[in-house]
Amino acid sequence: MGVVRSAITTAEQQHRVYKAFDWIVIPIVVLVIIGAFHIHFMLTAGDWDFWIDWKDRRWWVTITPITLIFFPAALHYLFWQHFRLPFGATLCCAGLLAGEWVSRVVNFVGWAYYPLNMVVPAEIIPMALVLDSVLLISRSFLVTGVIGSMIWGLIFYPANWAIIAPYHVPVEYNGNMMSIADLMGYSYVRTGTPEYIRIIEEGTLRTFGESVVPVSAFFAGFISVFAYFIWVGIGKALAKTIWVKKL
Amino acid sequence: MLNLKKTIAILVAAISIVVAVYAAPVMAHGEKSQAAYLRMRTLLWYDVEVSTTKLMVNDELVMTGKFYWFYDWPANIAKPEVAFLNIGIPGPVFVRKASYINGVSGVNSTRFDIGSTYEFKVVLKARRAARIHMHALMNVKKAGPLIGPGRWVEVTGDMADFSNEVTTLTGETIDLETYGLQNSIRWHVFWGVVAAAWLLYWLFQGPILIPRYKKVKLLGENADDMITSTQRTIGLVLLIGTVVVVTWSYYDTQAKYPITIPLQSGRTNIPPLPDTTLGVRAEVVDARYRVSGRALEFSVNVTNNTNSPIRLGEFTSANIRWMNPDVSTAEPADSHDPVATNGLKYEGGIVYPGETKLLKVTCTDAAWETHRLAKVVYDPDSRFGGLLFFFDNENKRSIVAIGGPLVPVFI
Ligand SMILES: [Cu+2]
Repeated sequence: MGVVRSAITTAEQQHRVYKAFDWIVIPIVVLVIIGAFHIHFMLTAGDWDFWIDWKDRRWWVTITPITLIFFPAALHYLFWQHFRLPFGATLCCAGLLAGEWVSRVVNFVGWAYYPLNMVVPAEIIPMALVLDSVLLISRSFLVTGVIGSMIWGLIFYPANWAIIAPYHVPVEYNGNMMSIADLMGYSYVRTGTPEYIRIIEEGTLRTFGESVVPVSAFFAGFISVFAYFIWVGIGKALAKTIWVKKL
Repeated sequence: MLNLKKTIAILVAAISIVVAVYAAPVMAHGEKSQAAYLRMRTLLWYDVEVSTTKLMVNDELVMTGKFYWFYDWPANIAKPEVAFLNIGIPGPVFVRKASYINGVSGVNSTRFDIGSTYEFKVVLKARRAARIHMHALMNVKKAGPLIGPGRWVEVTGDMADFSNEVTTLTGETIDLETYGLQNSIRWHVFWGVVAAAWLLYWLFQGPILIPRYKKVKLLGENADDMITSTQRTIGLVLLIGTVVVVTWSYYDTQAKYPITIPLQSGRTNIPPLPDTTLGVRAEVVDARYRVSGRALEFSVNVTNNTNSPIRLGEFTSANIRWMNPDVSTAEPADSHDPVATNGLKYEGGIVYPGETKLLKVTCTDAAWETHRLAKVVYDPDSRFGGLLFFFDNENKRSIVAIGGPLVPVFI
């Protein structure tokens, strides 16, 4: 008889251990990702995502996809390269949204009493599903980066229009025409966020003034393509040095 | 076993980090925290009143007053090229129904002239029960909030009774408290379910981390073979399905809301009020702050170009009022309203029409210390400012801004 015997003797036991590993590691990874991604996103796109009267046709549409693609790209590398699992984007975007909902309900409504409809986060799941499914179909970072990231930027606004359109209905208020979103921003007093602080579309003398959204969305998609490759690279560097080797 | 303990420890740490990130922000208002010279030489508020201090949910409160943009604006502070009249309250205890500056709606941001006076009116509707110290407030772009006088206000009643109805230009009457919320939640739930299904599909492919990692390393170049054709088909269905649902929802929404406008970001221009001095001029000759006596002493050369004799009744600066009860009286509105009811004394008496006279004024009160105004002598710019209120026989006021270097007297 050997002196040292592994506790794992059967395939079934091994299966159980691997399963237990999944159930312990995956929640930790998800929590850490939610925390880190949330901090990153609030620091970059914070107010645009917080308030209904910041969700405009130019800045919000441009900034959200570009700043948002960092984590999905890094996780694509980690989960695809080492596990052939195509859910990195959906995992972190769904985690981020769950965290955002907690923050909106607890802080913005529970603590500061803003109405929940004023602080609903942007819808980002459809973009994540596209990025993941393109990776699965193409099995290529190159194709995902070029085609997936482009669609990622393009569908952000259409995917959110169903949520924000009701707030763009016009109202007459004290002799001004405002959108309902503007009116909510005015009604629900924000002492530290005055009207002028909003970074939103101001209109220009340029032509194509009508097609602000498509221009912004294409630009967002275009930059997202580059951002995707940069962050796949960073994911590569991080995955190599930190924890994958320890498995 | 050791590893399990470690795992739990990491899990607890991760959860605490997440909780800490979500911890609520602290609400505070810094009425006394700004440097004294800034409070004395930026925006000078006066005549600020609230229509009531005790009200029920759904009741209205009107705040009125005037503000003067000090002529000797500190060079390091941004001028009010873009500014917004606001209210300092901890979250929406009130909703703002209307605000006016010189009668013009204050919905948009605006610019103001240095050296000019404006009057304002803000109509608020009580939304939830709370006892708060509310302030008039001006946000100035690149400068920050300029805080006006505060009042304690108590709202009672139930927030559940509150409604905030408006009628849109498309003829629909809506309650801003809940408008569109169900629709937003429905979409978030729908996409959330799809995301969960996608993640669970992969999670239930058996144990995924260790076996798949080993297999990827084993297959090397051919690791892509781990993806079955069924899985690729599922991917294709997901891609097409997502794009179709997004496209459909976009056009469906366009059909439901054919009339929409972009967010409005216009600016207004508001002309100032006419000159408030009514022809009275005042120049500070010298000014001292007596540290031990908590008193500002200054001599001021006053020229009366009006048709009636005038007397000095009040000096105000940084939301503090020093009254000369022989001429004008005022009482503190509440426990936190700094009014020195007998704080102003002066030598020189009446200034007659056409006369120029040197007045020696003393403004004494503990507020110099309690409101941290005495710190002006330790500021990087030790100049003071404020408004003098002269009264004629019919109590008509001439309001004149004064200011200049301030020399401390320590002994
Ligand atoms: Cu206060």
